[in-house]
Amino acid sequence: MALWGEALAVPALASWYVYRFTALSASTGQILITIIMSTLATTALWLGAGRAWLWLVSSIAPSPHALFARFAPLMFVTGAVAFVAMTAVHYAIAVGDEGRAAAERALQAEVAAREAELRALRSQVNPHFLFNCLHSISALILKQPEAARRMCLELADFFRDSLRAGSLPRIPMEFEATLVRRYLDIERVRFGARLRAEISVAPDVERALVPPLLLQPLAENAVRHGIATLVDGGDIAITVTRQGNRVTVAVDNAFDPDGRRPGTGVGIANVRARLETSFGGDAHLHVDSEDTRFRVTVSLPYLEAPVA
Amino acid sequence: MTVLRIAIVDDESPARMVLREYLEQEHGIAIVAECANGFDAVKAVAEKKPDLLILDVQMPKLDGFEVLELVGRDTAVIFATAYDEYALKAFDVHAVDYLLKPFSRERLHEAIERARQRLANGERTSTSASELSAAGRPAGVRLSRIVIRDGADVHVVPIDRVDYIEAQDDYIAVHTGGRTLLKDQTMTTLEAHLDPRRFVRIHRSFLLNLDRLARLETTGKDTRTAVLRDGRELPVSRTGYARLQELL
Repeated sequence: MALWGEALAVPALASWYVYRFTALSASTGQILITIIMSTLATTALWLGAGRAWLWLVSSIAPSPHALFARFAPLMFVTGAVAFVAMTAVHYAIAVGDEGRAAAERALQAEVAAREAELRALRSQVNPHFLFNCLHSISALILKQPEAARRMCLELADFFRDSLRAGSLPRIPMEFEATLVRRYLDIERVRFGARLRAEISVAPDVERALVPPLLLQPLAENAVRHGIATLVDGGDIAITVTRQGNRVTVAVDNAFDPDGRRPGTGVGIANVRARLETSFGGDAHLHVDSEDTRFRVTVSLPYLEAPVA
Repeated sequence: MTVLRIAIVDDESPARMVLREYLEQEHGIAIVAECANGFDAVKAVAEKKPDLLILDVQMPKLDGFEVLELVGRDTAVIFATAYDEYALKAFDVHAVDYLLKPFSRERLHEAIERARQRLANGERTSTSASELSAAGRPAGVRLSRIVIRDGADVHVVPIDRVDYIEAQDDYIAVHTGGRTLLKDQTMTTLEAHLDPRRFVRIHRSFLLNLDRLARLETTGKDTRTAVLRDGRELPVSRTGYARLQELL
């Protein structure tokens, strides 16, 4: 019986070779042909080896040649079945491994993509805003040192707040409004009387939870593509209201319809993408412009912050 | 040392303030104008003829590149902006220097010395500013408007308000709503930045906005005339007719 076990090891090993050299990625026909050919070859070799062994044994002792002849077909079938079974086991293991690896890769890719998306979306605060602010501070520092210092402090507060906000999945509307007020106060140093802004948040919507930096990019858009295009500047009106279980955020600003401002829409596309990530189809962003007014309206579900 | 006459152009008051402060410490310069937008800058150049413009890029009405396009070749330009992406384009249009905000007094000094040298060497660009500006524009970018200087005034003509453009020696005449505005540019460089499905060279001297075409009339053997919606008639050459046939 031990001999049988050892004999079976031959097809097992052989089938491993088949599996190694014919990857799963090969076509089904290719795999089948390889298996059939190798099954026949291996089993023939197996039988040949048995016959050789018998011949060797018969030289020292009389041996049952007739018995071998009778059992040869059975042995052939056994060998073939054993070989195919072993190959199947190898492939089954391979499929399992491959599936697990693929699932893991897919998961990793998804996590990486989501992280990149969040990183890209969160780094909302335009670096050029910072460069322009630093330039303003550098301008004020000798002639108006107090104003320069105030701007440094405001800038620090704004960045600290936006970093804190950005690390949270949702923030109360009140916090977002504070952030936008700080942002506009800083921009007022650059634009002076050209920038007039009003933010009104209805009392019943102050505790509404919104994705962080939802409003700030819209305000920044209104400044860059609106106020900055006008010689005498203009106004920005930001209103946040509640209608039952919905929140409406509207940013309305003056702009120069004849102005040329390539790049409009990046900030808005970003906000839209973040709304999609946060609320799926339950939030909408709408843009319209009329003569000299540009208006962005966002509608999102009302979610309330717990009382602190 | 001759006095270098400088005009400062920036729409943000702190930015003008720091330039003034830095320039006060320079020798042999005079600030002849301070402008808060592109229109004022073009006007100041026409009236005060400064040697050097220190120009912001993003401004109301006209951006810094459009100002450069309009002020002609006798004024040297230093760009000052927080955006680094225009640097290559700035050198394409032969700007003297490109300052990234915030910049130091030393950096501005360096730029001014460079401008002084360039002016002292009498280095004038051989091609007009419009040509350079057009050349600096990436090939795929279509013009959305044409800026034209008329003395100290600036006309901004959105591209869809152009009826047709006529070549006149070294100038082009832009016909828009009954008005004709002359611009120091060649037809070829302008044509390269217009939508070819919209503006068709119907004749060696005429580039037509297809929206304005009412009908084509055959006036003789191989001669045709384009009749515009407002009744004006333009000649159509044989190649021009072939181009039209391809599009219509």
